[in-house]
Amino acid sequence: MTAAAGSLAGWAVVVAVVSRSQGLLTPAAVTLALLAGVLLAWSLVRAWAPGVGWVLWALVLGYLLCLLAQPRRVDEGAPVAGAALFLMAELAYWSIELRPPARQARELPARRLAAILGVVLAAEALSAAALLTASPGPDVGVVLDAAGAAAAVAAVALLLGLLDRHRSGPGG
Amino acid sequence: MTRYPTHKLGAYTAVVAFGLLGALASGLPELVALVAPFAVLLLYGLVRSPASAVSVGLTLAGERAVEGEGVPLHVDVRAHAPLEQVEVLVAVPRGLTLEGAPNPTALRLADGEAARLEYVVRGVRWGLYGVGEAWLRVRDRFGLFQFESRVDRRVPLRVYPGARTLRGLVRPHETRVTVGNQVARTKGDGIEFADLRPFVPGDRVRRVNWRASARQGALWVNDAHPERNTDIVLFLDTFAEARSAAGSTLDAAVRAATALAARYLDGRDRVGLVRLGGTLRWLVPGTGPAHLHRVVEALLEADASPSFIDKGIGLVPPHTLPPRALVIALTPLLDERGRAVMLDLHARGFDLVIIEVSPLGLVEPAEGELGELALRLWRLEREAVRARYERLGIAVAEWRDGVELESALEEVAAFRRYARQVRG
Repeated sequence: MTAAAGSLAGWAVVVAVVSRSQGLLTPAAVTLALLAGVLLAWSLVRAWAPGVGWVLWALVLGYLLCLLAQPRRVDEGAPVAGAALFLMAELAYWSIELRPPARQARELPARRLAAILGVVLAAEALSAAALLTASPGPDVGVVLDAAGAAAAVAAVALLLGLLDRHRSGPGG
Repeated sequence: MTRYPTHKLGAYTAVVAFGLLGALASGLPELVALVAPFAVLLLYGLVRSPASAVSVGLTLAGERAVEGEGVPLHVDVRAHAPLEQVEVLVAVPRGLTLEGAPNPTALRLADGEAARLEYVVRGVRWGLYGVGEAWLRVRDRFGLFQFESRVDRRVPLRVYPGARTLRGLVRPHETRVTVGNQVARTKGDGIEFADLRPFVPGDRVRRVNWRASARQGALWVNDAHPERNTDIVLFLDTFAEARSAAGSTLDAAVRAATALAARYLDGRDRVGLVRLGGTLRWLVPGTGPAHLHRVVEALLEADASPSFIDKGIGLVPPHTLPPRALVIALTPLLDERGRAVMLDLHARGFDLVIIEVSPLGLVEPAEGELGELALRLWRLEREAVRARYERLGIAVAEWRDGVELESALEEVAAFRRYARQVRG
C-alpha cells in the first residue's frame, strides 16, 4: 500500500511538471497525463504489471508534447520529471510484485529503497551533466552525438532482443 | 532454473530507446534527462547479472496423520551465490492446510547461507496426498530478471479419517459359528439368558435353574444365547456424490465406514469392503487390527469419479459377500445404478441395512420459484425411493449432516426390531 501511494505521488509530480509548461499543446499533455493516472490506479488495484509500462509511455509522450510546443529553451525541470517518473514506475512495480503478499526478510525493503534512491541520485547527476553540456544549443559536438547514438542503438538492440525472446518463449 | 525477463525490463528498455532516439532526432536534451534514471538502472542491472544458484530440500516428518493432526514440514534453502531476493512458495494439495512460517516467504541469502522454514501440514480431509512441492523465484535487486523453478520432492502423506467412537451397532440376523462378541439369536452355551426349558439328559448340572425347578417340581435348565462373531460387509456407493465447500457425502461416508469397521473389528467380527462406483474395489472379510489398516487404506483411495459404465453386484467376487453377512450400505442414493445394486443385494437374500448419507444439507435450490419446486420434487422422489426400500423390509436411515451416526444406527435397529415382529 505504501509503495502504491508513493507511486501515485510520483505520478502527481510528473503531472505538476507537465502542467507548469506554457505551450500550445499543454492541455493535451495534461489530459494524457491524467488518463495515465487513471490507468496507473487501475494497474495498481488489479496488479497489472504491463499497465505500468503503458503509463510510462503516456507520461513520456505528454512530456514530449510540452517540450515541442513551448518556446525553445532547456527545461530545467527535466531531471525532476525523470526522477519522479522513475520513482513512480519503480514503486508501482514493487507494489505489484508483493501480490500475493509475501512475508519479506526485514532488511529487504530498506535495501531496495536505498538502491532506488541511489539510482535516482546517480541519474540526477548524469541528467544535470547532460543538460549543462547541452545548454548552449543543439550543436554541442560530434563526440556527444556519437555517445548518444551508441546508447540509443544499444537500447534498441536490447529491446529487439527482448522482443525476440518474448516471441520464442522464456528461456535460460 | 528458468530465467525470465520481467515486464519492467521491456518497458524500461523501450522508454530509454525512445528517449535517446528522440533526443538525437529532435535535439531535445531534456529527453535524455528524463530517461536517465531508467538508463542507469538498466546499465546496473545488465552488468550485474543475477545469480540463481540455490538448492532446496523439503522434509516431511511423518507419513501418516489423522484428520486434524499436523505433520511438521521443513524447507531448507541454501544459496550458492549471494541472492538478493529468494521467494519460496510451498504448494499443498486441496484437503491439506499449511501453518507456521508465512507462505510465500521472501528471503535474502548470502553466499553459502542457509535458511530453514518450518511449517505444519494439517490434514483437513482424509485422503492420500503428495506433499513436498515448492516454487522458487529468485529476483535481482531491481526485478529486471527473475528465475523460477519448481522443486518436486513429493512424498506420500496418508490422512486417515477421524475416528468416531460408536457405542451402539446394528446387530446382524445371522452369526458365524466362531466366538465373538455378538449375541446370537440361536440358543446354546453363552452368558446371555435366553429361555427356560425342561431338563433333558446330557444337560450340565450347573445350568439347572433351582428356583424354577423348586416351583415346578421338576428340573428346569437355563438356555442362553451364545456369543458369536459375524461377517460385516461395508458397501460404499461411489457412483455419485454431493459436494460443497463444507464437505461431501463421500467424505462423511468414508468417516462412517472407518468408524463402523473399527467398532466391528474391535468386537472380533470379520469386516469386508465393497466400493462400487467409478472404480470397483473389494476387500475379503477379515479380522484384527491389521485388517483395519487394510480397510482404511482401501477407503483412502475412494473417489466418486464419473463413470457411465453400468456396474452391478455381479462383478464382485462371491467370497467377498459371504451368505450370512450383514451388508451395511453407505450411499447418498443419488445414482440409479447404486439404488439398483441395493435392490439386487436384497433380492439375493443378504441382510441389508442402508445408511443414507443425506445430500440435502449440501445442495441449495436454484433461484426462483421453479428452483424451489424442483428441489421439492427431488426430495419427494428421494422419499419415494426410501419408502420402496422399507416396503421390501430393508432398514433405511437418513443420516443428516451434523447428526451423530449413532442416531442413524439406532433408527435402523428400531426398524429391524419392528420388521422382525411384523414378519413373525
